[in-house]
Amino acid sequence: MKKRFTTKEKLTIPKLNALALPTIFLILLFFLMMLTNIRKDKLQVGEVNAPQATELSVIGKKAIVTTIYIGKPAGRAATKPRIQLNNMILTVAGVEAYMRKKKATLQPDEYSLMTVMLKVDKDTPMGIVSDVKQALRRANVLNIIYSARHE
Amino acid sequence: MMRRFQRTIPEIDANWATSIVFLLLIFFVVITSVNSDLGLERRLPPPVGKYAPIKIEPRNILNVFLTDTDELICGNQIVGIGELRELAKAFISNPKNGKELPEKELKKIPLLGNMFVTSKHVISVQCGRNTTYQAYIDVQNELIGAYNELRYELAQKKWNVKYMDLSNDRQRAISACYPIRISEAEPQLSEGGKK
Repeated sequence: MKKRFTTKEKLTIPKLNALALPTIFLILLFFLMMLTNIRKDKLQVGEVNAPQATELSVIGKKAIVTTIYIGKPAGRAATKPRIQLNNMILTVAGVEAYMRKKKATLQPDEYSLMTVMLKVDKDTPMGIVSDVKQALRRANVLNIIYSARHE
Repeated sequence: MMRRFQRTIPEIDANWATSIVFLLLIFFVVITSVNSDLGLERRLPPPVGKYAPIKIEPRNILNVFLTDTDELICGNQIVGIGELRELAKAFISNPKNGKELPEKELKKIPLLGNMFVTSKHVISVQCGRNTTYQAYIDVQNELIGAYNELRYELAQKKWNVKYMDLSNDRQRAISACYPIRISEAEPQLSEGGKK
């Protein structure tokens, strides 16, 4: 009768085979590497919250994409929205100059592939966005994409 | 006679690998971002002065205006964002060939034959300088949605297939029936004229 309760001490948990774990994590890792891309630019215009939309399309594979960020710098609520292009804070005239310079490096048949991705914060007033659009028009870069996310 | 000894392979300790791979995983989560190259595709009008402005008949133009306080004015009346899609669809397709709506033109389109197309219609989107970007995107989204719905309906009617599943030639033919003509003019100066 007494012995019945003492047998507990003999129970041991079997060793776990941990070889499966790194395999699973590696699969997850490769999956993640394919799904995501490394952020190239450091955002200087605060967090850009894309507006919501439903009729979205994916950027063409051949497109030569330039990304322009417009947003308000974090921490300074009263300041005006700023334009960022490739880690530089630019003015509207600067955007035009940059696009012209970029265009000069391309072949003439590539002009129509030039696309500008506008990543604009959803609370930005349209004034600055329109200024950028007019600058792009003057530089004759006409394909634009308004970045947005699904609702 | 040779005798082979049976050797036992010792168990490999894999705990170190787990930690390292897990660290790598966390590292990648932090430095990367989900591919978010989605958006609304638009084409800007050519630079000013390159082409002479075309005169557009009043019946061929639909004025959509967003005020500084994000109110939507379509034609002459204030409308809600939910009504814009139907208005735009009626304007683009002009199903009853109304006199107020854009004129239709007989066009020969490959694969579809002769179709009546409102090839001269223009939807002019204007906004104030203080209109929020989200409101502007909402309008663009509804307008593109109107075109997409019309194309979808035509594809269903003609071939009973979803527009997205059509071959490239057929997609091109359908989109030629409803060409996207949205004009993005410069914003009007808001009250007080601050720039």
